[in-house]
Amino acid sequence: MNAHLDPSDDALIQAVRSGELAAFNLLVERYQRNVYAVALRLLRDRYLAEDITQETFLRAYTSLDDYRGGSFRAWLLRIAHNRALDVLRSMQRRPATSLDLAGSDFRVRWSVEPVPASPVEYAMRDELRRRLEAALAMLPDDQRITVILSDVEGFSYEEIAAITGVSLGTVKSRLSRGRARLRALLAADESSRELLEGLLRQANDGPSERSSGSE
Amino acid sequence: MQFTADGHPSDELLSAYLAEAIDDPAVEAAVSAHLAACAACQEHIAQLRVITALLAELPAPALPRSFALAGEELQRLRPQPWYLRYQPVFRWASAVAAVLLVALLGIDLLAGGPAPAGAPSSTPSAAADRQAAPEAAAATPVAALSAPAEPTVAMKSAGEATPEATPVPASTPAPPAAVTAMAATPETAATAPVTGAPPEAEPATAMPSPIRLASAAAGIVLAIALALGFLLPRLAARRRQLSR
Repeated sequence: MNAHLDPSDDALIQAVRSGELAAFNLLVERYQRNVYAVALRLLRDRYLAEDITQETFLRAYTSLDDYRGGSFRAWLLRIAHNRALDVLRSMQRRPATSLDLAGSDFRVRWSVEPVPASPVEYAMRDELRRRLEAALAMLPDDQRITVILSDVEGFSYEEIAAITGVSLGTVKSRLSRGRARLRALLAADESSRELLEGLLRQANDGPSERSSGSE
Repeated sequence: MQFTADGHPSDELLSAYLAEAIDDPAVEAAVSAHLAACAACQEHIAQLRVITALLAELPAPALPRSFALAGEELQRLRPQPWYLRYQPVFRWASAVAAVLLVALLGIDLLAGGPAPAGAPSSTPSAAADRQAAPEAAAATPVAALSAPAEPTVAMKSAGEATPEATPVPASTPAPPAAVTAMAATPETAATAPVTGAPPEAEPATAMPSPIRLASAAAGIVLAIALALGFLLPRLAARRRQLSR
């Protein structure tokens, strides 16, 4: 995503601190996708996610002197994560009741649609992704955040520990519990289970599927 | 995280197994052994794999807009200390003061230099001038060096000033009185209204010449501008680095 020739995060931060203020916008450009994607997945609301992304960068800018090395991306996401949690807690949570209905109000534009393998498999994956998205919304916040950061956004366990402010062991156990819960939710839903089993059958028949655990 | 009552590993345990997050090697071995024999648990693991794969390919949202901060916002939210905000002013001031100082010293040298030591009328002022000459020579490189904002201008004016000043005593053995008179004119013009005394009666040393005064002023401005424009920001930056 970022070229090797680009200045490092630390070099840009140093530049901002010594008065070259516009250098901060290079950091914004570098990480706004990460921040916005996580905020959107956590809050499932375009406008709230936009607000939180804006706030995150403003706060990061004004408190840049508090940053003391380590992963700048994780530091940034920690700000976004804390802010998003505040909003989640203050929001009236409407618990979803079924995987068919949940997430129907979650309409955003998605930039990258995966290329379909075969029309049938694509339709199945697409439908299952929709249901997975809904199931994700039903997880407890701590598990949901961990699954989103790890499996959707691809952060390392260490980064997730820094972002959420818990130990590495807690990250792993939240992740395990979150995935297990997702599977249980999908298995408990008739059509989701059929889709899941259908995909697995296809994977066993065709060569397209590969095992992909994390790490 | 343990085996359920009917002997299967719990969902959570299988998930941890998949993530290689089981700390106890004995438990991991037990899960592994169970998996080899249990079709249902193999199915669970396979489903977990599909789910993590699907999670990874959930589409990324399109960015609604750029979140870059506006230039005015950058300024407002991170107020600069005053010496950084006015740094360009100080740097320009130091350059201008350096040029001015060199020019003034050059003029002073040109005006007072040719007076021979023997001339009785101007002995004190000529002696003072000869003292000032090496000072000027010494000051020039310093000013040129310490004003990196405009070294070329300072150097150039220094170069212009010196050749003008040196040929005068060599080429013109002209009456020193004329030269000293020239130098004295502005002095007396300045002092005359104050004292009301005739020009000849006022010794040249009683009051420093306006050129000297101007040089001193330029020197003071130069020193202050250098300190505020170059020294203070650097010291502050080092101090901030140390405190971090």
